[in-house]
Amino acid sequence: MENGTVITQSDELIQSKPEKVKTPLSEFWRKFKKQKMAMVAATFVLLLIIVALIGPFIAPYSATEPDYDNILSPPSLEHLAGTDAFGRDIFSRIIEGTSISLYVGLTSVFIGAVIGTVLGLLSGYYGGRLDSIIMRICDVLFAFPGILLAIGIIAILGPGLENVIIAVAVFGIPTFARIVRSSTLSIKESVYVESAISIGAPARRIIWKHIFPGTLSSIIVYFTMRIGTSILTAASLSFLGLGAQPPSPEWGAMLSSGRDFLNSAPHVTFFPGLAIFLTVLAFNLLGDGLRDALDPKMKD
Amino acid sequence: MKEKLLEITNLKTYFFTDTGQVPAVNGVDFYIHEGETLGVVGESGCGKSVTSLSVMRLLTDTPGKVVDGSIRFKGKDLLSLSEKEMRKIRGNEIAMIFQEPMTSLNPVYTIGEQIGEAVKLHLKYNKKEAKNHVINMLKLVGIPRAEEIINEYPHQLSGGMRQRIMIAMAMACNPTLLIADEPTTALDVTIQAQILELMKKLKKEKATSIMLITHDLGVVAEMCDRVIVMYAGKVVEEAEVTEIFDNPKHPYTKGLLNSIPKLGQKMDRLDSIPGNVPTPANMPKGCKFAPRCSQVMDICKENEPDLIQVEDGHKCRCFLYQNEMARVVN
Repeated sequence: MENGTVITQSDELIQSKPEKVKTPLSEFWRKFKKQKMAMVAATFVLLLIIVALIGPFIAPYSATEPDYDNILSPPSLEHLAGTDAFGRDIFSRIIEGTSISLYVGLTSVFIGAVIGTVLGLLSGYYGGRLDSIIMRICDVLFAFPGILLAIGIIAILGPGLENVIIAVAVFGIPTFARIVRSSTLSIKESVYVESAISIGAPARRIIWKHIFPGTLSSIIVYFTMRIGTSILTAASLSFLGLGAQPPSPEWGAMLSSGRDFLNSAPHVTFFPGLAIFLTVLAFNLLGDGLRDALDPKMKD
Repeated sequence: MKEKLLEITNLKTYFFTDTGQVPAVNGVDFYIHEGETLGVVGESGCGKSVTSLSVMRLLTDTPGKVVDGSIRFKGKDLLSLSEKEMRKIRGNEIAMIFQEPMTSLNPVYTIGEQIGEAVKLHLKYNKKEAKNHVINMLKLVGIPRAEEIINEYPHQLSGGMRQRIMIAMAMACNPTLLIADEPTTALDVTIQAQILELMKKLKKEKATSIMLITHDLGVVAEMCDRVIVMYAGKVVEEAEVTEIFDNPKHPYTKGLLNSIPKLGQKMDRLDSIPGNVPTPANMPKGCKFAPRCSQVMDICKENEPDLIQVEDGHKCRCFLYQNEMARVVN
């Protein structure tokens, strides 16, 4: 016995060195950092978040104040991305627009994910008529092309950034509901859920404590990928004049205002377009990387 | 006369599938006395597990449904209880150990949290009391370093350890009936012996009744007081454990016993029962065992025998004895 304790203690000493401990988080990090593309994407996303937070402080010019001396001037050292039809510095506008795009992307996906997850859990766990009703509603929502559905919702609610968030969120609900439902169905069959029922745990507890954590990895992956699409949809709506209203430096609205000068001053549309493209790409690559790192079946 | 803790009469559990209804359990009767260990023996697919799931009412997620019969536990009919009342019984009065210790524990919670769940649900202990109780349970099932194990995750433990954890979880609220569904099947032989030893010890200390589902007759001989043999959703023989081994009546039971290799006996080939369990979709008309029976008679193919008492406390479902009994009566 004496000996046994000594061995365990020394085992623990070895294990307490950080590189030896295998927590789920360190495992995830080890797999994730192997993927170079995902790491680059993650760095870019981190950069975006920082820019979104401190944007107004680092932007060289005001994003909204017109400067009629410098209308549509091409990119130069003074104006890195040129100026728009009101002489506003496009680079500064993109920097300040970052927070709008991220805000819209994150909140809309978050709302969609929360509602979709709850519906998916209920639908998968209880099955039967509730499942049929929820899934048929999802089918109806799926039948609309995404942007059309969003336009429809905006048409009812009226234009504006808040309504864009709601529209994009609604459009995310059915996908989250389906993803969560399918993982719920498979986790529900597992012996540990049966065993939790057999010790008398009530349904609410089984859903939240035993099934929900298992669906989390697919939610995280889809959540990340979804942010890119949401930013794109929000930008499209603003492009159509249904979202952020001028002079707000929203990327889609900037694209829209530049389209009249596409031939004479292409930089007005090019740079906001590039910002949208890179951001969406970064979120998608990050999502891919997360999926590979979170999937237990992907062995090194 | 001992009290009957659990009494099942004419239990019928059918599965409703796209291709029609499948009688998985088709009129099962048995009982378990207080403090008794009942072995439920039979081949895969004979309805052993479905019977136990019916008792726990765990069939709600499957197309299975109890269509007839009654399950009385301490005088209460479990089939008529509400889901809420049933939850109070699950884990608290009837607990279950599953076959697969590797998948029966939730990978995202620590051992302490999982055993503590039942304790918190039923015994209403506070955090500290629950923790102490869990540590005591772990010590009881022979887990070393219990204070540290409660903070570990299932993947850090071996199969034998996990089965001990499952037993600790099942015994945590001191149930009066423990249903063990092939508790040792997934374990290697030395660990099997330890787990059986542990269950015996707990049974003695806590006076728990056990319904032990197994296809391993060695385990039955080791553990049980009484045995029922099931075939194709029905009980075909029921007797005290020594009686089953010394004086088996039903040809199926005899076949099962013959298929065990005996120590010190040179054999080139093990005996087996020819054929397979009939699929529920094409059950034979008469006795369900008739197509595989070595002593089959004409009547077996036409009619189904009843479960009759052949000796004191020994019942058998076979025409071989029905005639014999009839003669005795006449």
